[in-house]
Amino acid sequence: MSPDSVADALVSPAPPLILDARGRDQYALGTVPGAINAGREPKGFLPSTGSGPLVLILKKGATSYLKRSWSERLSPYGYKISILNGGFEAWQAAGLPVEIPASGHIKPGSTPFIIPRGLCEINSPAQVRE
Amino acid sequence: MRWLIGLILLLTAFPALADEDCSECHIEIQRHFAATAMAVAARSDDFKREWGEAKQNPECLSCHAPSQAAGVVCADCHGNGPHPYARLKVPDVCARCHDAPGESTVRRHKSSLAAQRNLNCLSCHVKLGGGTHAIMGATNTEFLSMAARLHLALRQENGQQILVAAVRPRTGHALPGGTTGRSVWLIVRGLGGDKSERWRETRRFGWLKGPDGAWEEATLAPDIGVNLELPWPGRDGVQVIEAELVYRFRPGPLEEPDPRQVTISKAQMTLRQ
Ligand code: HEC
Ligand code: HEC
Ligand code: HEC
Ligand code: HEC
Ligand code: HEC
Repeated sequence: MSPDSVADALVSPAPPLILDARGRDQYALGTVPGAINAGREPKGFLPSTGSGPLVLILKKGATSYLKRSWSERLSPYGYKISILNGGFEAWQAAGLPVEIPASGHIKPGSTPFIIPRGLCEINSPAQVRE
Repeated sequence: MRWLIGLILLLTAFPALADEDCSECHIEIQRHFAATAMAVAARSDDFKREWGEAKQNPECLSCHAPSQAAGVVCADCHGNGPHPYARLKVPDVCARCHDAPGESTVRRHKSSLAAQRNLNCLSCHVKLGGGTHAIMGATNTEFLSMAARLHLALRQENGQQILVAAVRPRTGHALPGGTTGRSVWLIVRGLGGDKSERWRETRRFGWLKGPDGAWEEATLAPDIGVNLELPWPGRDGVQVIEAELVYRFRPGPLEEPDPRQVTISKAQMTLRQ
């Protein structure tokens, strides 16, 4: 799949699951928004049972053996598998957005923040815009 | 100063048309918009209760009923006519009420993949075949169910197993969108062979209030969402992982009942023995 068609698919009603199989270091430097770090080893990977499309990001110069191993690993779980043509480099070259993965979630009770009480509490002044 | 007097004269000479005046000709549009939550934003039970608690703060009406009507009316978006009306730009026209402290919908939309692929607020929020004004939101369960997908994955890293619970918002803005009153909860559970729960991880996404009273956004970023990584998921004899993503019309703790809450996505995985 070309980067452009992957980008369109991502905003369609049936978006693909994106797996980045280039390994942790490259994943951390930047990936397709929403991609999961799948590690580099097809054998060590397990997805939830799913359906629908799945797009793989492979490292530059991935061998057809590697491609086949990933396909064989994933297809029993019900996904329709494609590969991002040209890899992550082509995605960047197409000027598409890049995610620098970082964790940004809150564990309840772990921060000094208060959960709001109301459905729509406001601070005055409201309507402050950037 | 003179232009201001001129403007005032102009406005009094052509008094702002009341809503009913539009419906005479724009019958369909009027009918569609009247059925939206926005059209009754200052009349809903939730609003009346909370507005009462806020001592009827007039600032609330600057979004909920700027023209002192039952809610948002034609003039609040189109301005006080007469024809021809200027063409409206989406999403800029929405920013007046959908961008504020505790509301970032328009700002976050602008950085989304959806906006880059030329979708706007109306591409998602207008009912199919509803023209331009049949705007729906989270209270429409079918619409809400497309808000995000949840996936589980297990990878091997340096001999260690890592479980990833991945949430992918498809909202074209942060999830939950809108104001501080919504929340989304990710619950991941490890189950033993007998289906009993061995461990549980819970995360909340939504708005938070900092110690200084300022709003802090802890929502899920559009497109990116979150990858919650949990090492060693098979501990304590866990064989099955179950995860769900729950959308709540309440900001507070999960224990607080919310009759309208909806599970928007689920995922399951059997670990190998
Ligand atoms: C929440 C803001 C909002 C409100 C309230 C609103 N409109 Fe609109 N209206 C729009 C937008 C945005 C467009 C332009 C749609 C586009 O071009 O993509 C529009 C377009 C129109 C058009 C041009 C034809 C069309 O369908 O595009 C008419 C006529 C119209 N509105 C009439 C009304 C009337 C009558 C009311 C009151 C019942 C009303 N609008 C209330 C936002 C609003
Ligand atoms: C006497 C009939 C009539 C009334 C009353 C009326 N409109 Fe219109 N309006 C029209 C016609 C005809 C058009 C042009 C055709 C179209 O786009 O639907 C139009 C077009 C519009 C448009 C598109 C932009 C433009 O100016 O061409 C907007 C927005 C609009 N009307 C808003 C309103 C609002 C708001 C009201 C009430 C304050 C209103 N109209 C009252 C007949 C009417
Ligand atoms: C004058 C202020 C105002 C403007 C302008 C405005 N909104 Fe709203 N909107 C509101 C308020 C207030 C609510 C809350 C209604 C409620 O739930 O009671 C709301 C609710 C919504 C909802 C949720 C509806 C639901 O059924 O849950 C959507 C979607 C929405 N607006 C989209 C838009 C879009 C798109 C635009 C721009 C074309 C827009 N709004 C412009 C004030 C506004
Ligand atoms: C790609 C589709 C998409 C686009 C584009 C989009 N939305 Fe949404 N929006 C959703 C979905 C799905 C939800 C329900 C989940 C949630 O609350 O975030 C939602 C929720 C909302 C809510 C909260 C509704 C409620 O009842 O709590 C508001 C307000 C809103 N959107 C306004 C907007 C505005 C304004 C824009 C444009 C700046 C916009 N949306 C663009 C899909 C979209
Ligand atoms: C900056 C604009 C703005 C201001 C000011 C504002 N609101 Fe809201 N309010 C909204 C929007 C937009 C929504 C809908 C978003 C959503 O559904 O999450 C909303 C939703 C709500 C809801 C939830 C309705 C429902 O169906 O669940 C309540 C209640 C509410 N507001 C009360 C208030 C009160 C009380 C105040 C004053 C203290 C206030 N609002 C001030 C924009 C505003």
